[in-house]
Amino acid sequence: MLDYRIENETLTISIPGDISSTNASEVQASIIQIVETKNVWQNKWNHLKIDLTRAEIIDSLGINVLINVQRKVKNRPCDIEIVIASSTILQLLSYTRIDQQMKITMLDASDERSQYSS
Amino acid sequence: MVPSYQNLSTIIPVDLPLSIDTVFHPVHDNSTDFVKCIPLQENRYMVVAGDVSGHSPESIQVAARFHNLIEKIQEEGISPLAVCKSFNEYLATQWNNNHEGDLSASITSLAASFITFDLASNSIQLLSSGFPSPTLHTSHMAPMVNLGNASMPMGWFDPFEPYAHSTTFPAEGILYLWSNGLISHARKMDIHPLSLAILLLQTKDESDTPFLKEQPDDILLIKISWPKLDMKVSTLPLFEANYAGNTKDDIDMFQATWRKSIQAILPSLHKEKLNKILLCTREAILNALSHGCSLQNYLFSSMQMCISADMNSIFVRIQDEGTGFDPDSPSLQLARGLEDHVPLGLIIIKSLASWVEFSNNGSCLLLSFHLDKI
Repeated sequence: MLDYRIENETLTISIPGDISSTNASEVQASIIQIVETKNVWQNKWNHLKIDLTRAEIIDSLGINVLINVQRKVKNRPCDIEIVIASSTILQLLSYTRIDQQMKITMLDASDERSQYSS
Repeated sequence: MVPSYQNLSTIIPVDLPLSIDTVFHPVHDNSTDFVKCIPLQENRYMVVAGDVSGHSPESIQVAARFHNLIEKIQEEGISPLAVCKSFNEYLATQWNNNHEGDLSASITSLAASFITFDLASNSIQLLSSGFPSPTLHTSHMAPMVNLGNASMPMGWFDPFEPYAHSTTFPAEGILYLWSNGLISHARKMDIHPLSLAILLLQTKDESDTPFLKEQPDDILLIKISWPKLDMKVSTLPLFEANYAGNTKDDIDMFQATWRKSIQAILPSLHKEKLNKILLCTREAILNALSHGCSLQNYLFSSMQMCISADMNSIFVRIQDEGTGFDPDSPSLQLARGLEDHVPLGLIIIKSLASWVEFSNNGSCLLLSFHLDKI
């Protein structure tokens, strides 16, 4: 089970590393399981933050996980934010236009938050 | 007894049209690894490399006897095949039979490779007896060629047949030949032998080589390249493999070896650049295995990675046995929205690689990555 917390109306789910073909199904199932857990779904949150700061590589199946999670929470009024620390992942999310569907936040090297949005 | 450091004979004629670099890192005092270059008649040159099993005084004796036999190739025009058969008969029927009945005695064997560069007939001829297969590289756009095949060393069985192969002599190329010790150490480092070969050549004149700490066996590497002066081969092979279609689930393991092989020779490569190379290669291999090979165990995808001689670019070539596809199909263009079911793998590759080229109806993909830009 992935680590998660709810505070300040934000559900934050932390992914421990890369999302790729070999773990994408598992990660997707874990995220959805967390979101659909009764006491989580009924809790007051309108912002879903997926913490990918420990990921260095996300492949095409990893991108599909983000797309599927977005589809899953469509019925709930919330926005999705992806927090990353890799410029490669940033480039990827931009090229695949994921950044037009979700807010992307890039943590820079000095650990200051820098906001990226299209 | 011949001292070990004199076993490595690198007599290279000055006017040879080939460049020969050798690297030797012995572990044992009585190493029997050797390489010789023998000019033959009619514009032919032979490179002989060999290794006797064990490191005992008896192994030195066997090596010395073989060296004497090799001399006859130049002096008397005896063929390498005759040398191998004669020596195998001696080793298998006389030398090893002297220990018959002593179950603790190990069999003495000799692995050797004879490579003849025939400039007259424009061919490279290989005769191999248990020595690791030589690898021939011409350019990053062409597949690497393993010239050899499994073969028995001399001394096991009599009669025996060494492996023989002939190929056209390309206008430019690099041929690598190495002993089993190099393969063992590459395995220990979890990198490709080609990557270790580059590392060994880079550190050839250095006395401090921490990556060789605890090497399990003597390491002998021979790099033969041509033409000698101008138009040197502009890329060096770094990795090559064939992946069966049903090995998709091992992709993490493949990726780990690519990472270590690249990092071994480019330890300062920026992490983001490395990740781009790894991700693109991963996506390309997964595509090849899933679609080109249809996940079947009898279909294969070949991959090779090369680095430019100036260490500024990495090239990845992936070929599968499928019928190909149209890489310019509209469905492979940018997703118009999240509802489109487009193959993201190719989109990722096109976005991260410096240059992408398809050939052979889409069944061959060539990528390049400029290393000076993130």
